Amino acid sequence: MKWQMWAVVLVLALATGLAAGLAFVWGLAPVDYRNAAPDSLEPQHKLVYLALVGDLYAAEGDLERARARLSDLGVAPDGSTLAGSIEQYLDGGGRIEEIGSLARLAQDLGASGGVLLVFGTTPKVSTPVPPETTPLPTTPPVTPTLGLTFRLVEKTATCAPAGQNGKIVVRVRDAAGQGMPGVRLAVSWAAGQDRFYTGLRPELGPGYADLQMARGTEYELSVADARSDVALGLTAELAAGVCPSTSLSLDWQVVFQQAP
Amino acid sequence: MALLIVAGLTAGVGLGFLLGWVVWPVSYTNTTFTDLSTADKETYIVLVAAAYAADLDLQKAEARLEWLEAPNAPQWVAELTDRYIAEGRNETDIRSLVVLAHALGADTARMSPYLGTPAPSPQQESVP
Repeated sequence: MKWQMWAVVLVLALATGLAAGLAFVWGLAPVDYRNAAPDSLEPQHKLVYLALVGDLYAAEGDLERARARLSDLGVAPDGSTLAGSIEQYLDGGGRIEEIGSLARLAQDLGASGGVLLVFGTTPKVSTPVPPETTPLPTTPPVTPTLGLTFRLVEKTATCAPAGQNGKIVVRVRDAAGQGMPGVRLAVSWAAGQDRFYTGLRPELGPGYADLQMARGTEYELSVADARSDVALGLTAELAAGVCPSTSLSLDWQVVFQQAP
Repeated sequence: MALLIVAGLTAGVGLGFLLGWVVWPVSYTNTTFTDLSTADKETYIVLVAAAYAADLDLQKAEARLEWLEAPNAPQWVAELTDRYIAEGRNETDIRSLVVLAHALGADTARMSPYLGTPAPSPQQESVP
């Protein structure tokens, strides 16, 4: 009996000591990560670094060096991984202009299709330029819409799927009715504005784009850099009794078509 | 009994230290640029300089340096450049750093050979 009591006391003391030790090293004095490595960067910071790697690749044209830099960042040096990162970045509201070089690097590492369609299909690497020369800007090849006219041919509200916030689904078609990828769309609301592109989700069609709406915000949408009708009054707000009780908001389907 | 408790606690604490510091240390997977080691921050600055030397987009370079949240980034670039020159590091890196430091208005005397001889002023040219 006495032996059993001692065992219990020993186990309790061990457990208490272990808990105290772990509390100290995890809570009070954890391993110091002030000297963190780039591969531990949070996603947004890592994408800033990735964009830099992409720009350097565009300048140097050295694929092996780019691969080594990606490895330093803890990013698998393959095109599909990079393409996934680009998609994440764009989904998070990132600007397409900042990652054109990275998209070309992804293409040169073997990725194609998907989000990269909007950047064009021909992999291009600029030749290195000495510091004294004036650089050429690297903008992604989007579909030019300047001088074109787009008509709003459909603007339909539907009940959003149960439990989901409303979104605007946009389709842009050419005069023949074919989807147009790489078309820049302009959306504005009372407190701001943004730009986004068609073609980032080719599985849903080349002219497809979508935008998540915030509750209580009214949006206006048009084709940027073109003469375009404007879709007004796009809001997720739902009048009582319009949709089933499980539906929280409205979705909008908006279609722009190029005038002949 | 007291000895047993002390021995148990000591062993437990020791085991806790071993597990928490060595076996399962706190893992920081979402660090920021400010958490990087000085060496990694300097590597980043060298890369920013290389990109700047290629595209001469100062706004972009400054925006990239801002991620480091350094109180005086131009001075850091200048000091790094001077150190690279003094240590005889890679010539391309040095040139890129000099170009960036110069653009940021952080020239130092050590950079002069890389910035070239200033053009003579009109008065100097007119002297027969």
